[in-house]
Amino acid sequence: MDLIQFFILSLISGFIAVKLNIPAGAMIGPMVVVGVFQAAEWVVIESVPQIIRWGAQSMLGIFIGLQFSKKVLKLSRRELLSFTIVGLSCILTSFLFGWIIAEVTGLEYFTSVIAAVPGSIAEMLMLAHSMHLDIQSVAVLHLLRFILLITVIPYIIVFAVRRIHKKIKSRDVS
Amino acid sequence: MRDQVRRLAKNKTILVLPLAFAGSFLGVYFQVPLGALLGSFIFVAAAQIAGLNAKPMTKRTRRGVQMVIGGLVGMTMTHELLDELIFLIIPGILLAIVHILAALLLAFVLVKVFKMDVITALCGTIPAGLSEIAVIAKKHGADVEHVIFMHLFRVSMVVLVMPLLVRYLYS
Repeated sequence: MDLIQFFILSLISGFIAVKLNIPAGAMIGPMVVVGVFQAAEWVVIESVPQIIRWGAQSMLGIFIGLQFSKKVLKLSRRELLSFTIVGLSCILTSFLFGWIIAEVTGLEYFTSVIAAVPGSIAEMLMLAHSMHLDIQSVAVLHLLRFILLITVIPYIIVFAVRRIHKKIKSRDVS
Repeated sequence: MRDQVRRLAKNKTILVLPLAFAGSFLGVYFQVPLGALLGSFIFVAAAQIAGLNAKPMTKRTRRGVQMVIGGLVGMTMTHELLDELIFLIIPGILLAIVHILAALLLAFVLVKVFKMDVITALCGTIPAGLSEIAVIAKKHGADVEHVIFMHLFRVSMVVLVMPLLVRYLYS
């Protein structure tokens, strides 16, 4: 019964959130709706079989894995180095920003570190859950960051594009 | 039914799923942190690089899995959610700002050291969802393949390293 309630609530709320064009709606919709129903005790889902969690994790792994192709082998050393620097800097900034968040909020350090990882929301939520950390804080911080970034990024890119065009024009004139 | 099987075979899903489940099984069996994810990721990525050439999963499948994960996370929410949301708004904004600053700094390094073009570097370093960034990158003439690779490396390194590192330091 728990499982049926869980799937009905998750799928319907996810579908509605996607239709409403909410950023990352497929995840945020069920998170909020199941969260509210559970917190208000309108529906009590005591447990979901562990195999569902493993299945979800496994599917996440498949999504990332399938993005790879033979092209990776054709990357130059220079490209590989630059991409690796991007990846490593994400890990370093997670620990640094996690420390800042822990200092500011008083949250436990590793909860803050996982909350400060740039991107990979679903994966980090699963990690927080598997390590019995404060998953609610991780979810809230990731969602705030994601919504703010999605709102601001297009403006930053447009600003950069305009600056570049302006530079090119002034160079052409001179 | 036969059509479905044929479609699965064409997408090579029939090969991907057993591979992923074998990887997940090993990850869980050896109690690797986030083992089911890491196992399936490593097995599928290795097969893809070796030339499996399976198509990425459909958006609908991805959304279905995200809905289940959203529901799983929702189950852990308590009535203190609203209080927590209010308490974490300022830190959340602070986090977004420092992430943007770090992305700009990293993009600057990539442009100066690796002679990458500015828009590609910016799109590749900003930590938001790949699908959203890919649309922006395409619109503004960035090298979309490079942007996808940068995000792929970022996500892969985070997924591979963070669970092991956090578990090691935590224990």
